[in-house]
Amino acid sequence: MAGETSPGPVAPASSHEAPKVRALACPHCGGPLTVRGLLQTETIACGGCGSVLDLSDDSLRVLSTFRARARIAPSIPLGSRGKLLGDTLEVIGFLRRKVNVEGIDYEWSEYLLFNPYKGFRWLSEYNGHWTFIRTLLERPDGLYVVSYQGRTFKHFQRAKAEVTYVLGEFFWRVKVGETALVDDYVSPPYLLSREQSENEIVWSLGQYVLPEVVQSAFRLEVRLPAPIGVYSCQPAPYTASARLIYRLFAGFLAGALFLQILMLFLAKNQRVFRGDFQYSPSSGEKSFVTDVFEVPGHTSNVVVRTHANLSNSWLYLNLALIDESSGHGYDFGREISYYFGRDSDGSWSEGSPEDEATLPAIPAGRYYLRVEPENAGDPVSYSIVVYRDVPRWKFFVLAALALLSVPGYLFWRQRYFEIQRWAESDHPLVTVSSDD
Amino acid sequence: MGLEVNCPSCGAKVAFRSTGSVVAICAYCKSTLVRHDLDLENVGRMADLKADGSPLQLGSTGEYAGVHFAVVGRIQYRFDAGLWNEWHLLFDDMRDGWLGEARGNYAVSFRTAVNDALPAFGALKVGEPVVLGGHGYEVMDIERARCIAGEGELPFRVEAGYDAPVADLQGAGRRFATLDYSETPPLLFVGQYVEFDALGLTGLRALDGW
Repeated sequence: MAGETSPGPVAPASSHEAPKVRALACPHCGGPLTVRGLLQTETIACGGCGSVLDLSDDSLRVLSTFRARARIAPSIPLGSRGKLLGDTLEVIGFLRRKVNVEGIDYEWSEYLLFNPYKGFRWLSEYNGHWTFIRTLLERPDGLYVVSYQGRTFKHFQRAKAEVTYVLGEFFWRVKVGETALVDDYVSPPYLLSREQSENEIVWSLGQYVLPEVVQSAFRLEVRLPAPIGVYSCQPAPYTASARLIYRLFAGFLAGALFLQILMLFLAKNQRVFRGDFQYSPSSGEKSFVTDVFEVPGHTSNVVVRTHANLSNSWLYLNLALIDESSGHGYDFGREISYYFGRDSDGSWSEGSPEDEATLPAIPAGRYYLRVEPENAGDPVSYSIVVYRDVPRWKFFVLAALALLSVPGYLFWRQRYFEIQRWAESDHPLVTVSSDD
Repeated sequence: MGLEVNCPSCGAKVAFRSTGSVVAICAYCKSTLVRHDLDLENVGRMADLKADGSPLQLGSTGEYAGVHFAVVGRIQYRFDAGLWNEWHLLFDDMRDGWLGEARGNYAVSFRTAVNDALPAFGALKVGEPVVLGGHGYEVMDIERARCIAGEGELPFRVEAGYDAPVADLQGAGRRFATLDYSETPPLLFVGQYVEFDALGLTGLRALDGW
């Protein structure tokens, strides 16, 4: 007596027997059918003949028939059972749906997944992109921007979806040709969908899953193909790490800037020599040396600035900074040229009467300059000023550019990805002329 | 508290555990017993339930909003798209409630009265807004359901084959309401959609292979 163990009376009626998986034969073509839906499904579509049968009718009345262009074999066979995002689910139905956007059909697959306690879930597959979908208990709010559980979803596309192929079991009277108006909203990796048919609105939430996840969940032997293109709710590359990377590099940049400012403060920017010279090619004596001057302090850069009174001419200086005690020299040549004038476009100028040369690491000591000027022949006066420990921006700028390249690349990759994503939507980010 | 009687037809024990229960269906002979003040009236045999795949059964227990409940009765409906059960719940705080259940969707609701005029069934349209008791709703589903049968104890009489035009409305978050037009004026039930796991159900049916 069951009444002894449970508080309520349990009658021995047939309706209380545990529902079982049933094997049937299609009344139309005789093909074998397995009913896995444990009395929670309404229809079964026979893959052999395209008949959609009424499971609530003992004689399996044919509700509709369809003629498929070709038999389509689902990538996950009916009857496969797996654990996906926490729930054990069995594949019991498969259908194909299409939308037509600007004259082009886009067709995708949907797998109906079943758990007798938790109900139905879906897996959709388009070009190798998989989305795990469940019906929502909540009704999200909004029209073009929808918020759900703290996330903001942007409208992606409105389209009429039409069933083109069915196989296996469904919880409603599925029919090839039935349509629903679908609005998709995305916030990768999530996709919110609102489907409206004649007497029902259903909201569902999809989550992007990698083919490997589907593959291992259902222990599929055939390898699922790699996704093609960008899918509406596919997460952009490096999404998880982008924030970290941006922060990290902002930190590096701030550190470099701090060091640079520190160096600006610490740099002595000290003048150690100044000389004014006159050069005339006719004087014969070409090369000369300056007075010895002291370069004090620690090893630092030395900057040699020259200024020449040039007017549409040039001056070439062959220079050497020579250590008095060792005789060791740092040779360098500088050309200063300055041309200017007026033409039909107005005034123009080229070059500059000033020049600056940096010697990177000069130890402290006593030095002199050897100077060997050359020019086209006119006498010219010029000055040479030598500074030590001059603050420089060049290395900071180079470091900053190097540091910006990584987040810059990341930004570009993500932006390009978003452009590709939204190109498939009703609201492309970049408008392309449609002359194709 | 509850009342236990012997079925006037077959003598089996029949319980009225909820004070809100007016009808109990004998689990053995299916006699429909209507409780009047002191006596019972046998109004005839209840139709058979359709075999379904519901994991629930009479005697299942669970919890909603922190209050424990037991399933004491059920009405089974047929919709355009399948079978639907309304499980009659008796909460430990003696409240009566309903657990709507179909194909893995669950909703707990309570009969509620509002001052608003309820819209006529024919005037309802999917997607239209409705305001009830200060809450905004959207009409999500309109169905002409048919009662198949009942079992256990119920707060009103049910009869196989009676028409139950119903509309499901959804409010903010998980708030939901059902308008049941099988009576005049229509009945309003207000509650929440719930996850199976959140109900903490026990005493469920064994299901083949699961």
